[in-house]
Amino acid sequence: MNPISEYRAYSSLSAEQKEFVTKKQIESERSPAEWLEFATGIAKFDTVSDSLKKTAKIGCAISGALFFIGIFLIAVFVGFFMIAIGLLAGIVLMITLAFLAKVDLHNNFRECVFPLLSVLREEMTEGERLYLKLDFRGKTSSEKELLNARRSATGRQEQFYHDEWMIGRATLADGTRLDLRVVDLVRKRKQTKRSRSGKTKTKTKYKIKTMIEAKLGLKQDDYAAVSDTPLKSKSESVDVKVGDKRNAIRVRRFLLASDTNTVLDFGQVLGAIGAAYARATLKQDDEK
Amino acid sequence: MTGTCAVKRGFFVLRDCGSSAASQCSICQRPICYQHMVTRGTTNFCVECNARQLSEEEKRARLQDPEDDVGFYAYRSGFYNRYGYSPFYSGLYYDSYYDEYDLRSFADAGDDSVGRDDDSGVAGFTDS
Repeated sequence: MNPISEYRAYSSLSAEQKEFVTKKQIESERSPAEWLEFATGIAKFDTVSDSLKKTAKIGCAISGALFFIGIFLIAVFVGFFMIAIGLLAGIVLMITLAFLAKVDLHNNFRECVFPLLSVLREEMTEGERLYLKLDFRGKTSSEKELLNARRSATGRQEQFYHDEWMIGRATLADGTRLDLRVVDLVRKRKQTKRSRSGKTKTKTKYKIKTMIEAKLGLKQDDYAAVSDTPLKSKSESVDVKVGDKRNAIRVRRFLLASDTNTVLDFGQVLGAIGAAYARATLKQDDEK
Repeated sequence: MTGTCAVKRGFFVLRDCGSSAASQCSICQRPICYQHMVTRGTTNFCVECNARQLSEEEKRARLQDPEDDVGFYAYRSGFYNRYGYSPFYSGLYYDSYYDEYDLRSFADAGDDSVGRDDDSGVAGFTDS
């Protein structure tokens, strides 16, 4: 992938899409088809960006090697030439990487939100609007840090983050109200140790607990809520409330990861919605 | 081509497509509209027969492809098998094509005569 295709992909984005890739936040209500139109350009741009980022990193390593070898060959003309090329290419690639870091979105957008939009487009009636609030500013951005940071006497420092990166609300084709929420609770643990030789080493580890919450407001006329359906796993909780007009079924799924770049399997999000639907039964005519 | 498209829309709750049929699937022989048609060479397939020929990885990848308009149908069939989900069905038209999805029917569903020839030999929903 080359910078020209990256530039083309970026140029083809609308002002709103460019704003999203730089600010990494959006809150809006529009039809799923409009959301998909908005997301498609960004997903394509993000694919190109990721590919270019890999190429730029390899390029940086080659430039560094060229620069380093050039130092040893400085006695001959080729050494100066290699240093100049390595330095120039390194600077250009570093600038490219800085730009890519600025516009890079977490792959959750492309690999989780995007396919979810495709499903919701089919699940909703044409013309219905989908409310979405997306936040891809980063799982450990300062705005998301919780105030309960801890520092132990052994040099271990812990910080906690609350990253609510997706909130969705929609009315599905069967009249069911869907509320969706995905939250990552991040624990960042920094351990500093001093070895016998006097060297100081710092290790940073992450633990991410993802909560997927799917809440269905099912029409009382069509569905009955069943609360005694057994849980599929310990990492899932179900809450059923029977109302006058609607029955509410809330499913919460918890997943663990150790890398902030881990992409949430969108099947898990759909699975949570499916698990809520699985707790409903259809009312027969005589029950209505 | 007469009748309505036999492909079901939706994911958790399936419903009738409602569009007029433009062709017939060369595998399942069901009537299909333009939106739910995949053409390879001169042969037309319904999006679901097309999906059933794909591997699980392909089904998954196609929903993530921004260029793929029918990737949803490829993913849907795989999801039901993988997560053991039984979709609800609301609509008038039904045939045994969806038996493997273990559908849960609405009370008013079951009139399987719409858009289907009487001599098609396909069992109604309530027979499954």
